[in-house]
Amino acid sequence: MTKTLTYYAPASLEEALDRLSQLGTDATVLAGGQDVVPRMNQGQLSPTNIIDLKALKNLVGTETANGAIVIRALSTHRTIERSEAIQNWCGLLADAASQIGGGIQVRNRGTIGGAVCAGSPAYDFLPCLVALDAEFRLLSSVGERRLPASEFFRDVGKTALRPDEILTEITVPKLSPDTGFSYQKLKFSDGCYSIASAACTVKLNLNESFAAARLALGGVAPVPIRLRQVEAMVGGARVTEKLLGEVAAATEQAVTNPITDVQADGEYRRAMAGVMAKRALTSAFERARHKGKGERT
Amino acid sequence: MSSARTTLAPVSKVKIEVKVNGEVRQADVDPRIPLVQLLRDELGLTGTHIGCLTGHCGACTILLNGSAVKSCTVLAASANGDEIRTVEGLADGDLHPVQKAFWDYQGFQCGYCTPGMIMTTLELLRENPDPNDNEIKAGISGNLCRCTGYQTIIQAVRGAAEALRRNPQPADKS
Repeated sequence: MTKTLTYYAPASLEEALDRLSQLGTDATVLAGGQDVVPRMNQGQLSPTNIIDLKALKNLVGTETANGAIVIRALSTHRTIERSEAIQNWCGLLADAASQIGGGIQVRNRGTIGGAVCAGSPAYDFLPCLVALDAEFRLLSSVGERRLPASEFFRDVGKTALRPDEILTEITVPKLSPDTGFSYQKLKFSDGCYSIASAACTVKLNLNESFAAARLALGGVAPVPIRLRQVEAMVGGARVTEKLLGEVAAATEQAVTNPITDVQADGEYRRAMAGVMAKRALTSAFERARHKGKGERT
Repeated sequence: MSSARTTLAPVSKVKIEVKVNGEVRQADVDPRIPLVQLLRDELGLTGTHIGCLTGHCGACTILLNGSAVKSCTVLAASANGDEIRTVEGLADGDLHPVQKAFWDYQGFQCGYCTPGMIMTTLELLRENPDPNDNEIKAGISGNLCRCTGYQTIIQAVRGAAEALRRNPQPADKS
């Protein structure tokens, strides 16, 4: 039996959640549409019900709370790129937003919540949110769940979001002003998806050794990879050629199931993951060093 | 797409109202169709082109509530209540300065990407009235051209920037 396709544009979050709990797996939630609409155009996705969140203006914007920045899910890439609060307190996300491919048109329309829920390994926010220890707030008509970014992504295009849930906000702990950060991405051209990317934050000791580092990879495997072993390895160490060589080797080892697609094969991705991790670590180090100098003088 | 269309499920159509180039237009739309299809097939505004329908090429770029977006990535139903500007809304007897610059510098060959390039250029120059070449390249990175190699397009954007600095346009034309 063919079902009738119906479009809903709920006026409130409550209405959207009720509708979603009614329709369950039969509903496709639409945010900025940058992932969903092209897939519909190509026949890869044929929703039976569309729930368009367009009217939910209270899911747009950011606020500061308890040492964290709360980013509401329908904030566009462009908003994140230009938000002063995000630039000041989690600049890694602003950097990544400005590097999202497809031109200003995509950044004007695409949303962080949409990118996260689409769960495509190539989406730039994913490794950043994992590196930043972000937390996702998932709402349904029966209640709320909070999940760390590291537990949210399950496979290509698959996440822990239940069919009756909507991602409403993302909480990102603030970076201290002396933290260096960097998002490095390898791509063929501005408009292309990443082949491999690395997100990094570092804090330095007074002798410029690493006090703490966080690193995550995007684009290389079905889900972002948090490089805990590399993080532990660089703790207390100084930036040397030898250390960077070890970082690259350990990064490659952490990529156990690289993606092969039309852009690059798995072995190349694995090798480039090491290079991106080195670049991100070096560039985050330089930034932290520069900030440290600025504070001391 | 045409073969797929014949097998699509029945739909309940959505009544929408949009303001296109200053004119209020109403339509009953299939909720699956992208905005570009509404503009071209229902409203007869064929200046906005369809290149890829995947959000890559930028030929369908329009201004939606003042911001450049690719109209193949927006459902027509989602545009309900919104304000749209297409390339048809620019010339006012004379070509708009951005159109004139693309003409003067021959910022096109086949012309297929041109409407999208022009609409993106409008936002680029509104945000940055005096961009350097790298900023222009980044600004039009979401618009593909298969003919020109981009050099004359970059010149056209630079020329348009100069013209707009000399002769600023009223807000509804900028």
